[in-house]
Amino acid sequence: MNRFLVGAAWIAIYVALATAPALLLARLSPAPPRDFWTEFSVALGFIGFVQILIQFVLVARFRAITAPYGIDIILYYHRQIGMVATLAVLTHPVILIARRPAAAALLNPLAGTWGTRAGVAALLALLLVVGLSIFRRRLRIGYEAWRLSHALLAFAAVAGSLIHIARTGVHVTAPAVLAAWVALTCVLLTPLGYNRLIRPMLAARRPYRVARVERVADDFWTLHAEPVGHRGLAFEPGQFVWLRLHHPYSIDEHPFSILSSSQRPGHVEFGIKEVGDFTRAVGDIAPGAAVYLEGPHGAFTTDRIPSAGYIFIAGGAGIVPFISMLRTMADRGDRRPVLLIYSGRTEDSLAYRDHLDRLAAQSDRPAFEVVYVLEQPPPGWTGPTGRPDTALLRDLLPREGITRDILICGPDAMIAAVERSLLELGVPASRLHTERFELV
Amino acid sequence: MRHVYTNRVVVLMTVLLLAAAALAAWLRSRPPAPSPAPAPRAGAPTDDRHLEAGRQAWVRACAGCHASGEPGRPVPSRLSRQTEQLAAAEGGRAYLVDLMLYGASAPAEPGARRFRHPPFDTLTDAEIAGVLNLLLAAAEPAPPPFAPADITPARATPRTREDVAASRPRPAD
Repeated sequence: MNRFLVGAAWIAIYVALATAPALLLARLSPAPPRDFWTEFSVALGFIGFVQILIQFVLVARFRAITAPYGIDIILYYHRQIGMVATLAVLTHPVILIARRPAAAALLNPLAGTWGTRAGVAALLALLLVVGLSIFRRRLRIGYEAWRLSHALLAFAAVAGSLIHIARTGVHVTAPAVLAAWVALTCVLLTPLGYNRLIRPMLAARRPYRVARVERVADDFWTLHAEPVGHRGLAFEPGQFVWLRLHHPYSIDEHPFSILSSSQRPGHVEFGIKEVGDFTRAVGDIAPGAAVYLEGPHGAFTTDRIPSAGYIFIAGGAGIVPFISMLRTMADRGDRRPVLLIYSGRTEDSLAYRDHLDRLAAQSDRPAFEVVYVLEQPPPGWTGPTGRPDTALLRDLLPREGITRDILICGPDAMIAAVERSLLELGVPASRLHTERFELV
Repeated sequence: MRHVYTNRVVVLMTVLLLAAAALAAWLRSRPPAPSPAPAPRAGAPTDDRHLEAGRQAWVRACAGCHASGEPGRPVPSRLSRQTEQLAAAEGGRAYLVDLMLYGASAPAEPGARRFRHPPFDTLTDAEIAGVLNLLLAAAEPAPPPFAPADITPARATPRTREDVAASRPRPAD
């Protein structure tokens, strides 16, 4: 079906699911009416709670749901709306205490009832979830530890909220209504179980093994994987997978962009930059080790962005999806013109230069050009230096009769700066496509 | 560019969620059609008994555990009867006030289940009096209503939950 229609349908379902429970409760609750602000505060609590439940579905990587938008967008949205939901939940007690300062005593875990205690605990868990996500890097918390804490704390928040709703609420007292809430919670938490149990089981049926691991730059590795007993991975160039090492049920899983050509599903390569504990140990992975892939994911692919030609702008590890796109184009005999602007700090930090130079030199791809931009150029460097800013992009962008789509992938700050510059230069927004790989 | 659109969706969704919460609150807080409260008896002005404050406090503090589950009847009749009996017993009125302020706790004994009640000293004197009067509203003949002045002195002498439970009047039999 049309991807646009599917996208619109999901949004309609989402909006209905996000608002209906609070409105239904307001219509059906048998409790006597209270003043507007008290009811507003309670409604915010319910709406925040339901929104948090919905997040469990959003981040479960169901391709049917994420495909219209791209999972990086879904995760970006999750990050933002998660904060909004937490603020809504936080506002619930704030309004109540503002109206009746004496109620602040209920924040003391020794006062109050199990219902208020559960509510306070759930709120603290939520604030921790948000705080750890915002400050993860500054607190030097590893990705793995953060992810585990994120899931456990979010789960605790949901459990605490349910107890709070059941014990303190005046709207959810009838057993049938309470049962409906518990059922809603369970349904929306199912994806968590599916992700942890069913999906690894499916991945285990299609195992891969590590063929070799090679160092390609300062802190950059290529991992070669081969399917064991099946035909391999069908993907579009630019997509990525979640990868588990050794064990299909490991909670330690990591998103990696595919480096290889989508025309060669039987040999999948990943470009991996050292950023955390897992990626720093990539060099130690022995050939033959089992690998399990979950995916592909992502909407950042030339197959979904039809254009007469492309301009790729890469920063750091953002080069990986572009290599996959370029190799796929080469394999397909696709001769559309491509200009790649690849920026990095030093010459040694530019991974896959040999690949790129070879592709550029290939006679059947005269339309591929690559420009390297270095922040700290070595002596004798003749290429452009600095960052890809407005002045540099104005010089580099081809002046031609066709309009090419521009794909940007790199660190968040670089993407934001390049996007701003291109808009300043008059590139229409509809021609810009970005992928942020900094998921957290 | 998709991120810019996403930011707009986040703002839109935030507004939508706030609107939904406001709508839900408006639906809930509209003046009720028929008042679920028992009609005040002739000659007893509602204000004296703080019934309105009591009803609001009931919804906030008590209904979570004590809700009758029947629309139109906030207070379960069994709880009303128990309160009537306690109020009529010797020391019962002081016990009811302490129960509201400090809670109660007694372990299970042969012939008696474990008994626990949370403290509600965050309620105002008028609210506590109102809640007790609400519970006694159906009693015949009408016992003297609780006044905020009946609650105030009890705040000066904090008691433990166990202490309060021990002071509960025994049912006369």
